[in-house]
Amino acid sequence: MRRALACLCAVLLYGYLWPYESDPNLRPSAIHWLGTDEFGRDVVVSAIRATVNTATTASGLSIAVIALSALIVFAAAAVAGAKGGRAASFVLSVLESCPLIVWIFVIVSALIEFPRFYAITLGFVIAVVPVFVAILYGEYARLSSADFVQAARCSGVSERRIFFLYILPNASAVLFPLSITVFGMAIALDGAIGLVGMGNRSELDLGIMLIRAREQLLTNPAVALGVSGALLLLYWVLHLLRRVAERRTISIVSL
Amino acid sequence: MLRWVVLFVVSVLGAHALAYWLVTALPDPSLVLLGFFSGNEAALDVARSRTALPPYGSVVAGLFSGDLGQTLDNIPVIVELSNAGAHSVPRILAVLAIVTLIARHAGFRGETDGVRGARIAEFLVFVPAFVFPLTVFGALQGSMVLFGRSLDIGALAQLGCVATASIGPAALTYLQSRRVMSILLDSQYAQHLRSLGADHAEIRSHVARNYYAELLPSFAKILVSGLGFLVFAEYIFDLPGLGKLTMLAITRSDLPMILGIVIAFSLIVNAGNIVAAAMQRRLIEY
Repeated sequence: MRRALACLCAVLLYGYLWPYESDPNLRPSAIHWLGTDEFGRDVVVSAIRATVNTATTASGLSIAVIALSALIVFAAAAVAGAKGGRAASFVLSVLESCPLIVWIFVIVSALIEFPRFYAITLGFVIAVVPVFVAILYGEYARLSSADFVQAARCSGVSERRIFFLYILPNASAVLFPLSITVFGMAIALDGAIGLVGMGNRSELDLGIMLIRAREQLLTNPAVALGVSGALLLLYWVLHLLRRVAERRTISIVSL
Repeated sequence: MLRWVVLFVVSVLGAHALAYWLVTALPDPSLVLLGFFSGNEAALDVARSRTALPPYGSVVAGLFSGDLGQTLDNIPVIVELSNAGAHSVPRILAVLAIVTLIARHAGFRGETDGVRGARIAEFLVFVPAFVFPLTVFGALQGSMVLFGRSLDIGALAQLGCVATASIGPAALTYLQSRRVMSILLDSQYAQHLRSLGADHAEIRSHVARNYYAELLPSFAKILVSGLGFLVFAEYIFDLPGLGKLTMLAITRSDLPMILGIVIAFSLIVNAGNIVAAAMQRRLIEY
């Protein structure tokens, strides 16, 4: 893990300290390891900065999805009880009859007139939240019958406090890997939307760089190499974080 | 049997209704921020000129009579779907064949507690679906240029498409297979066989039926994963099929086509679910 963090720091330092702008379409050299793109930007530096920008967006999406899912689960549990679980299962079975990326594409195509950021956010939230609501609801159902929760109820603790202070913290063994999975999915969505052609070509965004990489596979294959390398490095780091999160189990009981 | 048919119809209609609601309810003009748009100019022009969908009742009535509407090019949606399906279904079957081979290999060969294979499979499941087709396509194109051949990668595109579409579902199957076989090898039945002197291979052959019966419920997730990978693979390798049709419909905001694609995917997945449930029931009864 420490080696991975050290590699990551080195990559980030390279991405923000190395010479960035030069003449367009230069060949690989000692200064520009994979050359420059059609805008005169170092390919490796562009890939790193695009990855950081995309990761920042993905972080926001992850937080929004997890927070919204938790609120919906709380509302479903408070209002519908056991029927909420059945309703969530039905919605989940309908959503699972198509690949998730197809649902997201359907939503984004309906929002073609929206700014790209809003289209991606809405599409991701609408398509992904039901899936995580179903997972979180299962965790809620499991923990709500636990001894410490029953004890809290007998002590007169409100359902709101029980949910947010007892159940959610003890669901962290599921929430941590889930949040990293959501993060990975948000990055994947950004790339997929870019493949479909949405956005300004000069944006430093992973999705846009992917479509430029595909178009320039023969004229400037270095762009594809840079983007693929950045993607694989990012996912390797996320994969390590997910494994660390899965090994941790946190039990917090507060009275 | 009746229950399966009812669930099949409800799931397909549910997916269609959800897609209809999403494409008609979401793009409310009052929500569009002035002066900005997210798509490129061509897509925006098409989106603005697209015809609105008829009322939901007419759409469902058309669905039951086999009329899924017409695309932006005035071609019946059902004709486009049939042509695309004819290209995609063999690829889906090829992906399922590869997945079956992986399930057999993971369950009956090697150790179920090996770490390296599991880590590779977990990483492959985690990486986005479009990365592998892009990488393989780029490698093929680059190789063609290096060896001075024509840029038409022809039959290699079909192989590349199927191979890259299989990566995600194969990795998922590998992880699930190892988990199931590991549980079965620790079961009391396996321990009893071990005490009678059966070796590893004999125990595995005895639990084979249970192994496949336990694996079949995961079939839906594996099939959906395969379809997701196939969408990108067909688009990137520029091969005719449901994947390329999906991307075309999305970029052009062809609403009748989008609804038709959701129906097509829903039919494939739910049909696969029924086949898997029937096979599992037969394995358990036998």
